[in-house]
Amino acid sequence: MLKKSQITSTAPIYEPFVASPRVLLFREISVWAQGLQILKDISLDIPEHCCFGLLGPSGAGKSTLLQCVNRLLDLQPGFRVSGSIHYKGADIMSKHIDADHLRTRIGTVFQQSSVFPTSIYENVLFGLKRVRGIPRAERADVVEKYLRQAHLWDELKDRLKRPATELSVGQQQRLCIARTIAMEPEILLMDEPTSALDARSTEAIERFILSVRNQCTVILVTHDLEQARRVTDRIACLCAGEEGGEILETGCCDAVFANGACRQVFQRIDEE
Amino acid sequence: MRGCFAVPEPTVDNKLMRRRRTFIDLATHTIAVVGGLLCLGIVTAVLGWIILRGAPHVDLHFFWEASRESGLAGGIRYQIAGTIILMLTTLAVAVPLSIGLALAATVYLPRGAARSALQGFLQLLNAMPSILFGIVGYLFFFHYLGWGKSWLAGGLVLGWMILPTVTISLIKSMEAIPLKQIHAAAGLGMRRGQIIRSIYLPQSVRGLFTGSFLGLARAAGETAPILFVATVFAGVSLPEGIRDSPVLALPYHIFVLAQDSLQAGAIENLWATAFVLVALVIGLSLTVLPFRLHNSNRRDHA
Amino acid sequence: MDSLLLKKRYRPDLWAVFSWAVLGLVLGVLVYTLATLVVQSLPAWREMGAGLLLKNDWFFRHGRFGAAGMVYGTIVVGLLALALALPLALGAAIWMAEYLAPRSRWGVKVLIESLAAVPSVVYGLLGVLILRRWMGEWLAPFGAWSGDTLLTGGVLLAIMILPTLTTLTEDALQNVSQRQRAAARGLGLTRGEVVWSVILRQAMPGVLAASLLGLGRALGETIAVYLVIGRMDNQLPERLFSGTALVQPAQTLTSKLGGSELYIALGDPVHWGAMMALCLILLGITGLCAGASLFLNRLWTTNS
Repeated sequence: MLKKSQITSTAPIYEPFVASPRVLLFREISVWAQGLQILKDISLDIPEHCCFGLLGPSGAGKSTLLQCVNRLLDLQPGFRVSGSIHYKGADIMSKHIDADHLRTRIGTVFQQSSVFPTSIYENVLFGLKRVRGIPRAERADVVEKYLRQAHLWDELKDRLKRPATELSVGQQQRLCIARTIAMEPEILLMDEPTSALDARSTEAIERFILSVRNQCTVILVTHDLEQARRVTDRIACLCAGEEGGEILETGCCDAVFANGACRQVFQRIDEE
Repeated sequence: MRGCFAVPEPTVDNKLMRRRRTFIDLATHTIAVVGGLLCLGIVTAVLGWIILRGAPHVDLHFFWEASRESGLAGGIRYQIAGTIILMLTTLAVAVPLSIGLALAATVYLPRGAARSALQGFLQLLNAMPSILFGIVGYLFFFHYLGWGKSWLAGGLVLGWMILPTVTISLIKSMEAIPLKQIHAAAGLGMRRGQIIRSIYLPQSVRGLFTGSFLGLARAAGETAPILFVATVFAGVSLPEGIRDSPVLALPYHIFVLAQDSLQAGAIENLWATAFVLVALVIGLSLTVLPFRLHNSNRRDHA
Repeated sequence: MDSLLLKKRYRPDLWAVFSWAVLGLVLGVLVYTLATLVVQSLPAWREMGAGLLLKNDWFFRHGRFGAAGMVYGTIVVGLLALALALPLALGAAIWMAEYLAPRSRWGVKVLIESLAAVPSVVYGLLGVLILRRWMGEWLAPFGAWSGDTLLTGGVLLAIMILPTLTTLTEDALQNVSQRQRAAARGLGLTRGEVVWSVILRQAMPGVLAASLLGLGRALGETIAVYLVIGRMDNQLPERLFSGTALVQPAQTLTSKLGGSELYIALGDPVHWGAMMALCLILLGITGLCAGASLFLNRLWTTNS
């Protein structure tokens, strides 16, 4: 465990990054699970239209932080959260927020893909049909549009009516991505989306992330340092402190990797 | 607060859709709560009635005295004795047979179709109406063997009836034994019989225990199987032989009394007997509940 | 060279002998049972033919055995019980699986499962002492003479199968993996929508299997039905869906078999054959339900 005294700088470093507005502001987020503190006083500013990476060893609390944003943490018993997350001027953690509507604006791609046991076509439309409503005439176009964006159209255009469970793991994950962006979210949370995938699927998903930054902000949790270099604009490095995960450093990749404490963390990730 | 997230939506009648979705959400929650509370209400009402009407009339005398005046007065001493005799016989019949069947299903039968056929057969047997067991027993013991009503016949019929329950529980615990242990034992040179004795059987005691208690709970309360082959209403205390020795039994006692339940005294005794029977059955079931829940928890984490 | 390695003495595996013997015994009993039932019922089939099933004409003293009234009674009482109990059981199962916190869910589950253990004769007692009176009062304006009606039987059976049905349905709902729920909620679906679009859709085979099992149990129940159904033969209404039949006493296959007519039938091969035929019909109906339930369960667990 890295002790606090070893950290050279505790204040987050901001570089003037194209002066884009901040879309998501974490303020002193702390999370406890059954008495044990998992995250400690996390404060982050996430700019709009960028890909923001969260790096850190396992157990640092990255996934938990992500689940705070879309309030999926509410579904699991035993968690307590303090602090606030500001989105469009409102505090997400407040009780008055309609969490279901929030999740239509903030999409999530999980580490393990879970497609619904229906056809590929229906999977893409799953959320859209029920939450927004979409006239029959537009459906085929919508499916094509989002499958193209997820780099799946060429592979699947002939078998849209086949069950989605027939697909390979990489294809299923891309299908989940298509399903999520069909909701046109403003923020896309991705929790290690490529950790279980082969190189080809990983490459396709990374191309997708690079292209989708124009439409929404991506927060990517990853283990892979090279992936962070390729895909992200800014990263934050979390380490598992004595009292839960803490942010060590934020900034663009080079600045963070130059930080000595972060380098130690990354070395440990590499060894894992 | 909600307005902060209002993004201009493409479709026109979106307000309608939102209202419909909220309605579905609310309606589902309401259906669930109403269903659950009604269910709980019925459960509590049934149990409550039995306890409230039956418990006050149960005291030590009730257990110890024999019935008098055709069940209108007195206690249920020999009914309890009869039920206990039947349960013990049932256990003695069901346990060896279950062990044999469980070993067949996990060790001796070839994998695949034969094993699933046996398991399927057990599930089907479990769903059979209990009266059919009684009638077939009647056919066999009375018609074919020429016996009169006999406690042994009752035990055999009941044992046959609870066979699936005990066997399935045993099979589950045997299948939970990790294959690595079996291979390790075989690697040491142990023969199959020795492996069974030292690994399969000791580690499935819990399954045997759970299954037996559940089966006994069912056997204690069943009337239909013993109706024709084992029980009478009065005139007997303890069985004296085998062939022509009926017994009394708690469920049959209730059954007969319920058909002529006109006198007030009988009603009191009826409730009291019902309470004793229900307490026995639920007691047996609840004893093994922690073991069953523990097993299913383990399965979920696997 | 270790001589023991060479010698391969034949040692019988006693456990194998025991196990195969038990297997043989069990199969033997099964075959004997079926064969006996079929053989003993032959005189009745020969005498009545299909009329045994189809004619509404049971007068054993005159040698006529048409069991249509009983078949009707059995099926109606079973379907009635299922129709009454399934919505409640499903609602309760959804409540337990989706809305309750784990600790409360455990408490409710224990309570409901203990009720599943209550013996049928106690339900019969409740039916006789309580339900029968109530039904007699409520149904009197509809033409019922007493509380011993088909409807009473259906309601009592509904209460009887409610706990088992709830437990089995809840198990089916719980079998849908948590990841599916998280994925659907992540898209912004409300809890209610997740229940209908994801949980119920995926658990449907399991729910169906549970319903069939509950139906089978209701069809095969003897003692409770015997006590409250009135045991009146030949109650087959003219129209299939008749309201009057519900408020009249009736007879089911099980209530006939549980009665004293079995003793009376002993001397007469045709009468006895008719009783055995009733057993076979009952076996067939309940076997069908159990078999279908088993088939659905196998189908469902191999797909998930």
